[in-house]
Amino acid sequence: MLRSLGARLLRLVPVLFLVSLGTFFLVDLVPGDPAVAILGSNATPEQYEAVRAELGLNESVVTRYFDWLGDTLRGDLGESLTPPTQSVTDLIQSRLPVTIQIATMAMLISVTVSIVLALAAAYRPGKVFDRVTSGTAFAAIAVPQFLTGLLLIFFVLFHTDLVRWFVLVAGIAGAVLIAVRAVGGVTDHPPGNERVRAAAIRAVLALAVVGFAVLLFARFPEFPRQGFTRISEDGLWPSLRDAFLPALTLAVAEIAIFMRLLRNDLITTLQEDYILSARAKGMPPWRILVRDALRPSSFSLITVAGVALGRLMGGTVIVETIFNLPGMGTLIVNAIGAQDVRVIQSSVLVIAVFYVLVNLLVDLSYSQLDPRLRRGRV
Amino acid sequence: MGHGRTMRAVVAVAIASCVLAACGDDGEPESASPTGDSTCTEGRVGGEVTMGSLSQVTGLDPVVNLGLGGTGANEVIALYDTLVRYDPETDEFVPVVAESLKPDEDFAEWTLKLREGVTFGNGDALTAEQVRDSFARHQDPANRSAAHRESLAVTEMEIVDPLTLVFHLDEPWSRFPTLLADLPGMVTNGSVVERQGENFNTAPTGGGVGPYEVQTFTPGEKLVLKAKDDWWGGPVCIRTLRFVVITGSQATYDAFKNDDIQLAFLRAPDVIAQAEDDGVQGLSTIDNAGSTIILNTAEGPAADPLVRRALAAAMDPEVINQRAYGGAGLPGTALINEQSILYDGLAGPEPDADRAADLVERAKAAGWDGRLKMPCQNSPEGNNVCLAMKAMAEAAGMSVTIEQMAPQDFISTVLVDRSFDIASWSMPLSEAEPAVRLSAAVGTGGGLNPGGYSNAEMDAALAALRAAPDAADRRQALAGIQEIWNETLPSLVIAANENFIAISDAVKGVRLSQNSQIYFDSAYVDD
Repeated sequence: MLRSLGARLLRLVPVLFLVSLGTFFLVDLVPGDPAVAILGSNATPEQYEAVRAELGLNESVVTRYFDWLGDTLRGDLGESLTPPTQSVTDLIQSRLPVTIQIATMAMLISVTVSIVLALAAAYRPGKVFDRVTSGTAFAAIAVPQFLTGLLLIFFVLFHTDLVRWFVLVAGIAGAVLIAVRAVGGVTDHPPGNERVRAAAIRAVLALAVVGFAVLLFARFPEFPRQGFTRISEDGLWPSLRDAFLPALTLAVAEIAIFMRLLRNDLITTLQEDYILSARAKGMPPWRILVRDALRPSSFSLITVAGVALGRLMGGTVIVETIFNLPGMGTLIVNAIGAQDVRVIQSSVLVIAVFYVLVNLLVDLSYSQLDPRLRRGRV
Repeated sequence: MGHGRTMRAVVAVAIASCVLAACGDDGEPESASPTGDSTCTEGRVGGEVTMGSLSQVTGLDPVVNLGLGGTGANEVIALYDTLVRYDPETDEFVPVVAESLKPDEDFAEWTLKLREGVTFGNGDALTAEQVRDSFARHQDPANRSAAHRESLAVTEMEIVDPLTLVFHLDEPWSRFPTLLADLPGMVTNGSVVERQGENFNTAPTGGGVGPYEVQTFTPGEKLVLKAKDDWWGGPVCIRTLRFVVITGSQATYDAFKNDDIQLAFLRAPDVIAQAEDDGVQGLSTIDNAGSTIILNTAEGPAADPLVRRALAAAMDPEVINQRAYGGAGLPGTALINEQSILYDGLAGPEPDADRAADLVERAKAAGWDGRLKMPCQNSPEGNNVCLAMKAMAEAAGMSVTIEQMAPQDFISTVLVDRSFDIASWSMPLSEAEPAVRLSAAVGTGGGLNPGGYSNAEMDAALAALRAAPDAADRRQALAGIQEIWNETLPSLVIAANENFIAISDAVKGVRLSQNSQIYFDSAYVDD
């Protein structure tokens, strides 16, 4: 196991080298002048020239690359070029947790919501719920991320009452539907304790839905238009609240993708003999779905979720810009604007390391989830 | 004539001395700002305020900071204060850290008297020596201060006593206080600068005499300042002051409406119009000639006065205003916009498409091929302005080649490489002292004169403006400059720019200075 892990880690080295090489030369092609970023637009030509010479920008790109690589291998990421100059390591240490939090929250929202929706859709494929969720999923995938963010800002921040009423009405409607289904499906269960228990579960579920909707209606959180509160500053709740809309913006498209993927795998799994056997034995549907069908159906989801987490880490640029979040995305965008090559290089490298590590973890998780893979290797 | 000038000088000195000294004796008067006349008192202490700035502060050291209201000056003013402040209500400079600032008869010497009892954050007393050393940091080219060029106007600083300093200037300058209301007027404590070294730019604790100290500074994210408990100027009401940068005026204004921020620095004309429609209170300032078309008068086709006249006739500011700003801007060809306090009926060259076509014909007949090279910033606004310019020039018979480039490359191309015939540019003239930027932009050898314009008459007119003792004389000097401008066309003015600082109804007592700079010394939150 350790040997396999070591070999995989070694394989990452050339990948990261190529990433750093590609980034450096691409950045060199990007237009921009750090001297203007440093001095603003009111300096004299002589001042701009002096700054360029001072920063070593008159050296060849190859020389600059190897200078940077040498320093990085010694653990020195250097200082940012543009003022206020600061340690690149400190910058990344400050920004990375924000991006990780947003990406993680987006992933948790996506996985949780998509599993619930996929289970419900796969339970009765082709019925109303399945069709509605599938149609909505296609729409959500088609909407670009920046538009999702702006729509969320428009409704949640500036038309809050509309959203509150929508939540209330949707909650009541959902509860009524659950109640109707409970009454209609009461004969699915044999008379006696089983039937009473099923009715009680649905009643509690309906009450929970309506209660949650009323709670949200009465105490709808005040989300900020911009900015971010770190957990270390004001605690967990303000940080979660500030990160919620950005995370939801990222999650919308992921929910749709995950849901479609898992739904299809679940429908296939639900045709397996052992599921039919469980049904024949009278196992409750929720138990069959959650305990028997979900795990073997989740391989594709885990693969895609792993790739998506890496993508979210590097892809928060838009959402961080829209919500003005101090994460890696805005750090890279601002650094590109100022052609701060040291910051760009190091940030991209950190994202790349994260990305390949996540994919490594996904690979390793397969063998834990599917014992056949472990045995096959032996 | 000579007697008249002397009399005007005496009157101006008397008025300036009276204003500066009188204000110094009794403390700064309450100015009638849109945020209310009242000021911070012990009973009003408390509260937090967040301001959305235009761009990230480049540093907290005045020799690194860019010095404009939206780009970091408000942050450093809160830390260092300034020796004097420009009061737009009276068009005069009033003392803040200084007790008085008095010119000699011909404005070539200025005597600064400091208040007693002013201390830095680390407890050191403010002295004339500290002011001298702090000012000298701006004169040191190694520091690359944004105020370096202007600071060289001071040829010598003479310490009279621990609280008195005399500035000797290279030539008469009636509005010299503009410099002490800006970056060079933010006194840094030499011992803290030395101790902190390079870190002073991000951690200047104890280094300023302003009402605030840095609590946390996360560049690119936020700056949090905390009020001093024992500030020499009295109680500081707003206890925590945050500065954040939100990309884009619309997003900044959205954050303001959502009450994420209580002050928002807005520059986009359509967003300012929204704020005004919404009845938002705030402080508005005008940058005269904030949008211009720079002409390469040194080489290329625009070196020919005939081509410049053709361009002046072809470019209609109203068309650019409609295309780039949806009609919400302040178009005009005059150096001074009619909304400015400096406005005195000046008029720029009139656009006339027919005349433009005729002039182009004549220039072509003289050998010009009609082609112009125009670098453009690849921003939405830059594109719109350039497309409007190209359309108008081509309607007159010219052929314009647009070269798209990133904003920073654009600045390099125009300012450093001077590789352009015409370009959309900016020459923001401060209401407090337009002479500084005008001299840099069109004075012979000016630091911001990439067009290479040089004209002895203009230089003399600029010198007259610099020495003009009072507002009437400044307006008269500006009229002279406009006349030469219309005749020689160093560049074309297309609009003034408005900066608007939206302020929440709960925030009172914010005071405005030059270059859209604001002071929180006397501000408070009215619950």
